[in-house]
Amino acid sequence: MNGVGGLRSLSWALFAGFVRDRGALFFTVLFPLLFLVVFAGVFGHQSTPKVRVVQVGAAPVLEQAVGRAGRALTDTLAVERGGDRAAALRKVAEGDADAVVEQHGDVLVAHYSVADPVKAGTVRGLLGSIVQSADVAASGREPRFSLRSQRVEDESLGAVQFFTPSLLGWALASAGVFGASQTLVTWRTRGLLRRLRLSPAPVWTLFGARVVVSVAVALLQLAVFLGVASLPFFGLRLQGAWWMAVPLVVAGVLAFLAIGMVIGAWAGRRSPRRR
Amino acid sequence: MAYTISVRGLRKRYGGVNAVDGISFDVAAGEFFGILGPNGAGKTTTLEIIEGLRRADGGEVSVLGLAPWPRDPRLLPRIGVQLQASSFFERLTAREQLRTFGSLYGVPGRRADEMLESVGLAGKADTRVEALSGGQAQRLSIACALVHDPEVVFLDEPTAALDPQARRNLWDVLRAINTGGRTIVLTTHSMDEAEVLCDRVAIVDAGRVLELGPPAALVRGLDAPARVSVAAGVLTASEALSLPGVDGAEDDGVSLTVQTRDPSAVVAALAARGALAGVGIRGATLEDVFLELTGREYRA
Ligand SMILES: Nc1ncnc2c1ncn2[C@@H]1O[C@H](COP(=O)(O)OP(=O)(O)OP(=O)(O)O)[C@@H](O)[C@H]1O
Ligand SMILES: [Mg+2]
Repeated sequence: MNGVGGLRSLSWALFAGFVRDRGALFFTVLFPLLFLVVFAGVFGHQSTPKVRVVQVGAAPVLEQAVGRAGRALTDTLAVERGGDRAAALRKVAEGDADAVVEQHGDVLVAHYSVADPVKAGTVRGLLGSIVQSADVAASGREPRFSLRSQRVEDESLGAVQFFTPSLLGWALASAGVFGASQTLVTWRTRGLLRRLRLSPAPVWTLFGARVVVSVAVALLQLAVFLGVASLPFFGLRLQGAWWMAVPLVVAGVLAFLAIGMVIGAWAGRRSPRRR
Repeated sequence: MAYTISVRGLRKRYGGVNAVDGISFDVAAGEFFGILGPNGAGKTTTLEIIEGLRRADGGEVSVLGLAPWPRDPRLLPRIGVQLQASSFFERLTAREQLRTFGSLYGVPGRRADEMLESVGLAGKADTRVEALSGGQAQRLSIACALVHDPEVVFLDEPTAALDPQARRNLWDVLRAINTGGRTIVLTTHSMDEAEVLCDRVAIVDAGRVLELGPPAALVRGLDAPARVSVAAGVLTASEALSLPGVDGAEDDGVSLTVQTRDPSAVVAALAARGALAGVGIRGATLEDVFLELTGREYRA
């Protein structure tokens, strides 16, 4: 008996059994896609959140800066007038605002919370640069240096670019582990392993068929994921050596398959001999 | 090599139980051999050792001149096995199932479809195995054992879940295979099945062979009386005892049964009295042999 024929028919039988198993299909393909939709809804069109500042009393430095810079500043900074200083401070303490700003003479005072160090840093940096440019303006000289900032990632790095691969990784891992262990356990409890042992198909073809089917399912998952995430709604863009994902997916699925086989062998050990 | 299967002094222990306790027999080429016995007698264990699924604790087995243990790929295509519990690939249809098993042996799909026909499942070809009835599943499992045209076929209680009609159909299938020169070994609880099908039977209990031979010879060797029964009430037991040739009589309220070694004389006497209502005559069966051998009623 040549092993190749056995490998082919066993792989086919496994694959047909998988495709007809709605539960397995749901958990390996649809369920992770569901998360893609949810994540896209939550983080999909996220821009850097604005810094919310409450201004108490008159603060000409801040007002002039907003007036001068216009949209360039209001994209990152939202200023709100608050009459009551105590109420404004409470807002910061509770996280509803990021800072309270007031001006005493030539000193701009910023009250911030250490609860969110990232926001605190942003507030201090932002207000610091406002004060400095006001200072330069007051000296009557043209500013000599200027800053232009540029991101290292290209413009496509939306959230979908990194949560598609991570969700795919999770889907591959669970499909690999569950698929392999479940096959081994059901084949054993149903007595199929004993029956196949009596057929001339070499033992390696049983495992070979599982590997073939798992790799095929993984590539299917990859295709479906990339296909769905590339829809305009999600906006995934493939670039660079993205096709290297194919060997990576294969390698990853083999690793998880190995874990699944160990689990399957262990979980099936004490299952009944027959019936 | 004279025998197709040769078993010598087979032993298998499970914990404290001697499941097989020194079984020996030979099966000739083309023979239809039955292993008969009650639950737990050791039939399945014996069969599985011969098939190569289990390793014996002691004794020797050879099948077609080869040792079944360890697994020998030269032997496997020449034997066909139906296990006691049907085992299938999940969510395949009957036809796909049979084709998959067939392809493991290099059998073309056409042959698998013919096999499906011959066990009467052509109408269920596209039904998934999970949706088959118990008897249909059993027939499919037998078809899987036969699909590659093996020289020796092992069947573990093939007719256990079948209705009388399907049972008779399967008997025909098995007889046809046997007539084609195949050797068949089957286990069964059913005495009448063994009598109808088998050239020879081994009656097994508690891991030992109690008796071995052609069913008719076993029954004849018993020299047991025949039983004639008529409906109760036509005749009292004491009247029956006074008839010629009657050795014993018993009335259970439903029917009156008399034991005799001359049934024709008894029937004639009953006829003369006009007492033949509901008459039935039964010769000794394998069940009587079992009763004689073990001293207990046969309970399958
Ligand atoms: N794997 C096992 N572990 C422990 N005991 C076992 C095992 N298999 C069988 N036995 C015991 O060995 C004895 C013979 O079992 P076996 O299955 O051979 O009987 P059988 O004649 O086929 O019965 P049945 O008619 O119910 O199929 C029984 O007492 C059973 O409990
Ligand atoms: Mg049994």
